[in-house]
Amino acid sequence: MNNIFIDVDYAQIYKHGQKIGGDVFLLSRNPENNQIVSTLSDGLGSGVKANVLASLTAHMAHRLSFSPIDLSHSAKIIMDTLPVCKERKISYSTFTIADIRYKEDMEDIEVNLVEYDNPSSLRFSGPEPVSWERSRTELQREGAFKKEIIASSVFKLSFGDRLIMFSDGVTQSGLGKSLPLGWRLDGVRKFISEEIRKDEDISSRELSRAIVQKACSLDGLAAKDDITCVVVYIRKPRRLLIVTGPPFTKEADQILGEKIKAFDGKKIVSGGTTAQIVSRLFGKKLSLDLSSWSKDVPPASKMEGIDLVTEGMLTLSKVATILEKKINPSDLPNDPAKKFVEMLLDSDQVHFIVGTKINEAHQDPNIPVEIGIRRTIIGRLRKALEEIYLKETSQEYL
Amino acid sequence: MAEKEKLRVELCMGSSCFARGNSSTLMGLEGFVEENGLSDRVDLEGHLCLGKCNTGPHLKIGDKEYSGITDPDAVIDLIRKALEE
Repeated sequence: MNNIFIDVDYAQIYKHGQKIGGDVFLLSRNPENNQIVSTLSDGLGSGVKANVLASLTAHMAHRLSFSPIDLSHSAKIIMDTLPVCKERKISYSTFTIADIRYKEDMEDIEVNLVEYDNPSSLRFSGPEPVSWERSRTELQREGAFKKEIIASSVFKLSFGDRLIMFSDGVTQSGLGKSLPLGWRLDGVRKFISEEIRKDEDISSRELSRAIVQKACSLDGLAAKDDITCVVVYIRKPRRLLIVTGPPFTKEADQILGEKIKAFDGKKIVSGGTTAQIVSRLFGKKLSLDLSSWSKDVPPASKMEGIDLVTEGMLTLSKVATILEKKINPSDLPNDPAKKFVEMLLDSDQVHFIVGTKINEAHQDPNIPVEIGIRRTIIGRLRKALEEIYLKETSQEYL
Repeated sequence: MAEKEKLRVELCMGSSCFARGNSSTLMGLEGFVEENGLSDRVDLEGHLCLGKCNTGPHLKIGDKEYSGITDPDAVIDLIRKALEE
């Protein structure tokens, strides 16, 4: 596993009253080519029509980025394909494409950025804004009202740097309400800088959320347009260890203890018996906390040195289902599964140590199927984490 | 007047006991304690797996242990009885 991680995440709020967005964000990680492509497109208008147009644009941009064609040329192809709106005489879909390529060791991260009609993207090194040169290509399309400009730039990102892209729903928030001309690029830049200063290591997920929430509040909590923000952050990977299941032999308990101690990152122990083993090994008190649980998820426990101690199979199975259904943690009841999911989403690399001892009582056909086979549930978790949330995972049996 | 000793109700919250019925029992008991204003008379306490999975759900009222009760109302009756004693 690498020591540098490219953290890409986004947040989005649809225009008030719309159930579908005219802003479309696509992200692909292509580890075989050491490439990450993120595309943000804003279709003219809002709702279904805008969504179709933006999806079309985003998918074209995305596909072309993985082809050998250079980005400015791809951008031309897209713009020539996009119809110009008959009434408004402007093409109806903007885009920002960030094509991020890196070397095996992650030392050399190069971004190829192409921007068309979205607000300018911003860069930060720590909390400090960074300005950079863009080259501009003019395009005159038939029937278009004005010349169109594609801005492209190539630059390197290093440890602690951020690239932030957003739709005009962000810069224009508050327009005519709390702010006569909207939030504007300068306001957004200042806000981001302050947020980073407050928490230097704020994750892309949290920062993008903070930005869209601020924009929405400037709109009086009823967004006037789709509000979308994408954050790319180069940082140390956040590691999470999940220990579940007692080791197959008693002799291996000691090894488990050493592995937990040696791990650099956050730690979850999932399983009552496993927790009791760890508690005994470390000589730390283990106490059950009845304050948060739900019908399907037993209460968590507390132990010094472990960030979260939960029950095992029922909790893991619930967590797997939440991840597979892509449920937002803020919509979950306040039980240990919610905390578990939040910790997973806030990590980049997740390592599982799976004990293979079987609890015979779990083979009873009268108890819920959720208490299935540990390995199967871990398989579901890893699949969801890798395929839906683009996390790196690994595992070992004990 | 000497304060009455609180009644301790302990429930196994291990996977097996939780799934076999202690989940709904705990919910029922929390409701019972709150509705009847008994929080100064009853202490609810959870435990990790007590190793009695085969006969679960397992619980303890005062110093009496019970196994295999899946109906929260039955547990409430047992608590009522224990409180009267």
